[in-house]
Amino acid sequence: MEFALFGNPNTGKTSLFNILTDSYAYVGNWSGVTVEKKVGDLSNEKGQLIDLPGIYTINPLSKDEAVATEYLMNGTFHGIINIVDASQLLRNMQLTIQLLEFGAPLIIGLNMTDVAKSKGILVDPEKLSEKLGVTVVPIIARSGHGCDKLLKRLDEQNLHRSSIKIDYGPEIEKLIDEIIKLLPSYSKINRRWLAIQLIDGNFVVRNKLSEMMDFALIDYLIKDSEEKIKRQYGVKSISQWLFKKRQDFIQSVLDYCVTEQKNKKNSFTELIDAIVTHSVCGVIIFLELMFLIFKLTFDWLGSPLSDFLDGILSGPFSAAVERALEALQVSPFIQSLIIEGIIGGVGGVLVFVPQIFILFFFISLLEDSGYMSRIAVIMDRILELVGLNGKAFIPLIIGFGCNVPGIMGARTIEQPKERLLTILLTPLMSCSARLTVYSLFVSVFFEEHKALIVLSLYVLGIVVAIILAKLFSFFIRTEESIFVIELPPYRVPQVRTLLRSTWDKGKGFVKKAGTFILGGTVIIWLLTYVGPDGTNVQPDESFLALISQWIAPIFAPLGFGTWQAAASLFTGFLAKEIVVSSMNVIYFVPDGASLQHLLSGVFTPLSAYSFMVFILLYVPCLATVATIKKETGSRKWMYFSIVYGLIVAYTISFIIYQGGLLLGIGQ
Amino acid sequence: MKLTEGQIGAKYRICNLSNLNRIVQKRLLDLGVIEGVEVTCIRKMPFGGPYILEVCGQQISLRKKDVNCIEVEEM
Repeated sequence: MEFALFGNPNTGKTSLFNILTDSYAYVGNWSGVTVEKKVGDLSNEKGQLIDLPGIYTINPLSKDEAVATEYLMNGTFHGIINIVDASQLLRNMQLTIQLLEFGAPLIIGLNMTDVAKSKGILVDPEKLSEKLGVTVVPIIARSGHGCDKLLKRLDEQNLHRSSIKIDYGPEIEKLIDEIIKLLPSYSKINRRWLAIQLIDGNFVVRNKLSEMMDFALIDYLIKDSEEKIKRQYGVKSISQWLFKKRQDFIQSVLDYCVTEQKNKKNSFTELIDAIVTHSVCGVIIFLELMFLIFKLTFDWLGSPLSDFLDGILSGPFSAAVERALEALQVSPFIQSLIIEGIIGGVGGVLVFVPQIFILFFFISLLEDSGYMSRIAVIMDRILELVGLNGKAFIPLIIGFGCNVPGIMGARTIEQPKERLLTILLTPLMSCSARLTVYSLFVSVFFEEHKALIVLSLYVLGIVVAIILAKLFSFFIRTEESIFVIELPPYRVPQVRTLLRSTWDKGKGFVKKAGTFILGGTVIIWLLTYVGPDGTNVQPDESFLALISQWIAPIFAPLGFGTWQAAASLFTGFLAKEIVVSSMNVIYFVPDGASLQHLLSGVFTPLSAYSFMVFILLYVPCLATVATIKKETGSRKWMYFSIVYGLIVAYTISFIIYQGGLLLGIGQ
Repeated sequence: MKLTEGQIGAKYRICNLSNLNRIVQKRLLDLGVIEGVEVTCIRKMPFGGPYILEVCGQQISLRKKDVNCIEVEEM
């Protein structure tokens, strides 16, 4: 059996999903659009649960929300779980009513009964169930309270089709009847629901039906009724009328089953907000927080862990494998491949796993606590100046972890041009893969100021993004920019949710190490092992050196005109971590420690910084480029992202290196 | 009067939203914000930044230019 999870944003949908399911069966894409489709196996093994984007209504505004509507119309689910926030029922039930009108079997998870209680709102689930004609289970998704009951009731006896019918008033009821007569007779979807959604102006429903019918008459009828309604009742639009009629019904239900005591304020949220959204302190606190996260990721927690892992991999582990290979009398070619190629290359990337997981942990923490939307508010004014909106800052921050989900996160931006701009700029956010390169170089050249140097690169990425946004906005004319954002109350993050979302983000990195990076490293190793004169040649006479020597002079003005640097940049297009594994292989060192020693002879602090800046800004990695193509639906923007990246990277690295030489710093 | 002319922390009743951008209107409708509901400005960000409003028991943020289009009356 397949179940679909519908609910408003910020109602604890993800928490409920995590509790009801053991694992993601898979994370894929919806057909046609690259929006993450998450499917989980129910923990009682009775079926699968599909997580849908949070929506306020079936009538969508953004691409993200349209996915939920399309799934409702075209999906093959057996039932719906509708999660509602007990403290916000009046708003949440607008969606519930539309789902009930749709007529699929449904069960309601009445969430946050604890929050509601603390606000003085007491909801009687029995009475609510009686009024709506479906089962209602009170739950607290964050703690898991009541979720087992909800899970048990996911069967045919407890999933009911509701028979409620909202009376939209004589004019609209007449209109609904007229439209139903015009609808194609073979549609399997509830016709009354289709008619109501068409009246509401739902473009997903309209697009689906437009293949089968002509809208001229329907449009005329709707327009005519809208005029009548406006004149007679003084409402502003037909959508507002539908909303009000639903709200009247919801209010009558709530009057029956909700007892409200004196409204207590949520002082916890207000206290925090008074500080973090303070007009002066807000920005400072945000920057301090980011700095703290970097300090933890690099200096205090991440580095010792990485060093520890490196010690094991390059020391005992490498030696044990070498002994084993010798005992097995493996050919020197294979020995070299495994020790220098695979352990040196892939291991050189794997040592950064702790740092990457720590960073992902903090990003999950920001997402889960409710602070992310405050960041959007704080940053909106700055981003508005360059033709973006505060919401764009969220994909950009997620981009610090990995650019791919960052670019996908831009779907919540309503205006297409603003979304395009955000997508194009997200690759400038320094992702965790680039971190491996920084970690390597700062530990050699900037031992004293690790966190500060890395932070400077992140800030540079943001500054360049802001400048380019302004520049691009001259060419990509944006429609009027839109910014409406809900600020959910702060919630203490749940350990389970945090760990799971950290793992979901970080596992891709580990997987990449086993596939892409392994493959790339083996190719690099082969190219350094083989030359025109045969196998096991001197590195300078390998094919890789010969090829890269052609490109290397281009980078001389940037301070790193060696064939080794050129080769690693070239392969870095596959995935930026490969830059590190390439260097490990090229310099023929099986472990990170001696590579660091070698690098200090080849680079100066200045050229190392220039190299890091180049890594930060040059072409997005292969996966990101592919995502840009999918999300923008155009090859043009994909090529554009590659070309502008190269130009910007070259220009800025040039300025930094040549400027540094002139000023005589860092040599 | 316009909501931007009101006092921070005071309650007003919304009497006209029709001057707002259509998409903003639609999103506000999703959030339950229509003519007749009560609204309070909680805070405004510096340099003409967005406002944080409390409306229908929730906090939302809107840009100054949009808040400027919301007409309200004293309660």
